[in-house]
Amino acid sequence: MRSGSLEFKIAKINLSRRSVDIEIRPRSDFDLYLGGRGLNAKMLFEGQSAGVDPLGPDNLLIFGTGKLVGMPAPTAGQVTITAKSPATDLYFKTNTGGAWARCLRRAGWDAVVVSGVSEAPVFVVIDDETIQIRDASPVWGKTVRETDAHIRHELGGTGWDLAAIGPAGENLVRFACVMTSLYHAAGRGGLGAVMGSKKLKAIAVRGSGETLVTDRKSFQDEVLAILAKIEKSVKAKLYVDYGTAATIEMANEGYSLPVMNFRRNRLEGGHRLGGTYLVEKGYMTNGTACSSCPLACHKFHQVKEGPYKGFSGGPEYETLAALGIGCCVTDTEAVLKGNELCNDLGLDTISAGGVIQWLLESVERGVVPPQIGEGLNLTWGDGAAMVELLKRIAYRQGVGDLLADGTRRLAEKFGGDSWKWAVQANGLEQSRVDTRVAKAYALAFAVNPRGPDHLHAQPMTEFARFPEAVELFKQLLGKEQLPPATSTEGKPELVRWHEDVFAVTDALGICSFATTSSYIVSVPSLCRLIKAGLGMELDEQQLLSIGRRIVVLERMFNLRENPERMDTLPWRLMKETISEGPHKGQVNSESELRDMLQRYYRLQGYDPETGRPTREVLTSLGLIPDVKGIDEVVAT
Amino acid sequence: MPMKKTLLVDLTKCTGCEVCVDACSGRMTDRYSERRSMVHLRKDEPRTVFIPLLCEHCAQHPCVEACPVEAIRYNEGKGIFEVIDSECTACGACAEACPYQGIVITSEKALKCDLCGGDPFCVKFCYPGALRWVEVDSGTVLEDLLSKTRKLKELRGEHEIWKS
Repeated sequence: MRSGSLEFKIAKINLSRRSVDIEIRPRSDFDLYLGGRGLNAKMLFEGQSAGVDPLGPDNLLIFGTGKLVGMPAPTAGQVTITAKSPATDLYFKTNTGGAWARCLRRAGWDAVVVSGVSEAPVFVVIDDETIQIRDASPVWGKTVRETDAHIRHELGGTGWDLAAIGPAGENLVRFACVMTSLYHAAGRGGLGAVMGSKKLKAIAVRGSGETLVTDRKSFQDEVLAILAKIEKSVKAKLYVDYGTAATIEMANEGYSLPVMNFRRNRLEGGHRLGGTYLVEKGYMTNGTACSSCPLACHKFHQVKEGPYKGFSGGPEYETLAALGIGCCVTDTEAVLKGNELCNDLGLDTISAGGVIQWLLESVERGVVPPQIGEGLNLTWGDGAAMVELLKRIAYRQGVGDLLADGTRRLAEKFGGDSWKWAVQANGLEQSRVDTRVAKAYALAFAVNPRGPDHLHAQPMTEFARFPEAVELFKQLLGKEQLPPATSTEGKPELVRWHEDVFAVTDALGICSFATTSSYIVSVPSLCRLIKAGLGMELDEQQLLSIGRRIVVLERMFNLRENPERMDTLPWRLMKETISEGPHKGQVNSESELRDMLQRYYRLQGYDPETGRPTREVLTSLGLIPDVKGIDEVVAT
Repeated sequence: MPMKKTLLVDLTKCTGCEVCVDACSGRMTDRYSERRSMVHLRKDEPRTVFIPLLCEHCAQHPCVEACPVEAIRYNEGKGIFEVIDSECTACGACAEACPYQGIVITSEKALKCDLCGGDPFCVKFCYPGALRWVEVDSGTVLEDLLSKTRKLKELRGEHEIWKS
């Protein structure tokens, strides 16, 4: 089967049995879910029952690319990895770029589903049609870069790309990530630990096939039209020039950065972690792109000499804010080293920064004795301690062994009031957005099936900082006068649109920076790409309803897993107000969140009290009868 | 008389997105494929060095010398060497001889860059501006590119990719 078909070719790899099977899934899966994140969600729901151990043989680890990957559609180079998370014990999807997804599509596969657990370390090789399971004992224990070099050398030839884990994944750190193309992280939720539990070190892939396009002239015209839009976009220019680091200075000066475990909102010297500083001081070397991406927001940084000498991809905004701003570390080079270590060891920088901040606050408040650091100075702003802690986490040494389980489990272990400064909800550390200053973000974080973070819906419009965002805001709200980010007016409508668009974006294999963060690729533009690229005619509403189907299906997985799970935010953000700056006094109060949730539930057609999707909604979206077993989860 | 133009590669601007590869293969066919593209991307991912390789329309033209049936000939009107399809036997000697991997052999013939008849498709899709279609006599452009390439070498250090 050549890629270009709207059926799906799936490689099903069982590591317990060391078997490889091919499954062809029907065109109807494309019509309902598009692929990528959407099809992953369906396969995960149907492929496992409630209550499986995230680190056991029954958890599926699914790598799914989108049908636009392999074509020059701007930013179409993404893969979604889906599994039950060992951090949250709930549904988790995480997304990454690099060149891995393109290689998989060129090899003729849409997705890889890994099940079982291998006895000894292995890596999988996908070379076009051929799939092998090989011995990974020489690379077990190695960093991501060492693993990449070793496996490329062993395989020989060119064109390989790897999805690999570092020592953190092997050691089952609950926030270990999967790295593709060495420097691109499928960061959150600890899916690297799922891979590690299966003793799967890497999946190497290359492909010599081709990707068919239905109407190349119209497709290419649409691509050129998008490139012309990028040329005019202020937001795109920031990505092109500085990457995501561009936002640090602006947020710091505006008192909207979470500092010191969300207790302050501006850090003196914080500009030393900002995009312009990194460029002016010569740390930034170049920008690289994921496949087919014109933006190339992934910036590389180098420290030429000294104790932190090194080179790596990133750090992104989240990393600078988690390891730097949050820990009050303004030593640029220490933060760059922290980022390099996280990439090499395979750690999610957001949760790593979260557990370190929890530890620093716990020592400060006397809940954890300072001696636990075994020689480290566990106070705010110590870059050397932060860097050392990352290593101990990845190798589970000393205090690192405790930190490796995440803030929710840490607080359970150490007790006292320490749960109050575990800035997590549903087991996931909140990403570096202070939702007290942005209420659409607050709602989006609360309803996110992953937990409180920005990669389920990014309602950037609410800041109304650039023309594309303002225009969309007005359109979604249906009026000219825009409420501020701290108002809840219109926010459920905003979140709903962003959720749907984000889901479709992930399902097609393109990047949310194109569709939701910069608003360069509009929904009509997506429809045109799908029509010209894949020959499928969809109008805007039809496309958005596919997004909603995915969002609701993911919610159903969590309902089946834990009916008590609540749409909520970390305690601190709901109980403690912002202490400084223009947003002083803002909070995500329980009543405010409840009000937004109820409005959102009504829009979604959920039960307005419990937030459960009703049978009518599931039927109208076609999830009943399409998804096996979903019927049993619906409240009667 | 129109100004003579040439296709230049600025290595410091290449981000490795591979859109040039797709653009080239998708200009004449309904498929995107490395095998049908006359642009190839050499990658050194650990160091993030990306080098688009394509026909340089070079002065030495070893492809012409290598062709056993003399099927690559100069076209006065276009100002470039081109493959005469009807005479090409797809033997692959030209591709073997080209130091830039700029020629692709399909089952029927050799595919060699014809600069898309004076409006290179790959350039249109290269958003970072690593591929440029510029007037030949603008010496400053050339000097600018050379200095950047030197800087890149210095920055990334000596590495295998530069030697091969």
